Amino acid sequence: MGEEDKGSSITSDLDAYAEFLKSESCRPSIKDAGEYGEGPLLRMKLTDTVLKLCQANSLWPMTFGIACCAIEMMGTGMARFDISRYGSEVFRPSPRQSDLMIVAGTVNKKLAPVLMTLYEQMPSPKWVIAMGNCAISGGPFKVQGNYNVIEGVDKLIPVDVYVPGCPPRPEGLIEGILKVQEKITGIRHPLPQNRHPKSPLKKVRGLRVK
Amino acid sequence: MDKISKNFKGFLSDQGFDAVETDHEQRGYHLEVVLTVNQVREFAKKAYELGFYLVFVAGFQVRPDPENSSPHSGLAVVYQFARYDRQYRMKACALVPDSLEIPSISDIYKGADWHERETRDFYGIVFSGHHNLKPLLLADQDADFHPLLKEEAKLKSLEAVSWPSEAPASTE
Repeated sequence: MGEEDKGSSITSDLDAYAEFLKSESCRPSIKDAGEYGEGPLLRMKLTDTVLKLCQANSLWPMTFGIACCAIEMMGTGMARFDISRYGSEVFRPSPRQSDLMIVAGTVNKKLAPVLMTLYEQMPSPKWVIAMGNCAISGGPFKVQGNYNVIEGVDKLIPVDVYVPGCPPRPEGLIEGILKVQEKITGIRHPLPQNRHPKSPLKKVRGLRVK
Repeated sequence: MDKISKNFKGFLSDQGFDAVETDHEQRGYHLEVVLTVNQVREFAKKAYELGFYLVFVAGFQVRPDPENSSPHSGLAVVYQFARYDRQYRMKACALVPDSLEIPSISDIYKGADWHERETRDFYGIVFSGHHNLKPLLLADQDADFHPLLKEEAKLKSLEAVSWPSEAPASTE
């Protein structure tokens, strides 16, 4: 009963599903793979750059608070921390309208298929933030005899950015969103606004896409 | 009814239940009732008629005692009842037989429905007569896995987890 490690093994059905979701065939590659490589058929560098800038600065997260991390996520959305400064305040109640999934909490076995379905329902391109220790690794529930908690959402879906903390501070989540933006465009956004002359932050020369 | 409500213990004892008054300040309930499996439904009906509401249904596991007069599986179900009109709580406890079956009270107290499903999830106690005894908290594929069942070495005897049997010391 307690002796076998039940938490690490999800059922074979779910395992296969997770493998599929994490495979390359399921994720349209957005990397530059040569002149006629993967990615969209018609590629124009400038249009791409502008589109990615738009995507990065208008992330629509899904309303998916599943545990106490969601309280911090709400705090991040409210006036004091205000993620609308970074363009990602439009929490959508439907996966069909969102392109960022913030997994804010503990995922247990019963929620796993739901989470994977929601991920599939999001239109591509989409990104995932694993917020908090539970979503990263199972956190405090990763103990011997754990039978119900999935030890990390990256066992189920591909994760782009991990934000550690129990729960992370709103600043942490904002940093995670900035990391996602950095991943999309290749440079860190927002551009340093009102940069202090003696600031150690380097001046951004131009908009280069990696 | 007024007469009964002044003396629940006397009334329940007359009905053939093993009821003992306890010190509420020490234990948190006024009346402790030990039920046999056959008395569970009867007791629930009586409690319902007397105007008690169901607080919870839960389970626990102790080491099975072969010396005990009524052999049991080591599992037990605990019910707690209380009233809205005055401070009065009853704890009823029934040892589950080896068949792991105990009658469901979910048709008498509707609120017992999910409590019984939860107890089945955690201990594997089968509430016979329950209309929908499928996993509530655990995933469907874990229907035969009962996480709160303990290893043999960790079990304690019923006496070790019960309150001492002698009358509670008076605080007066």
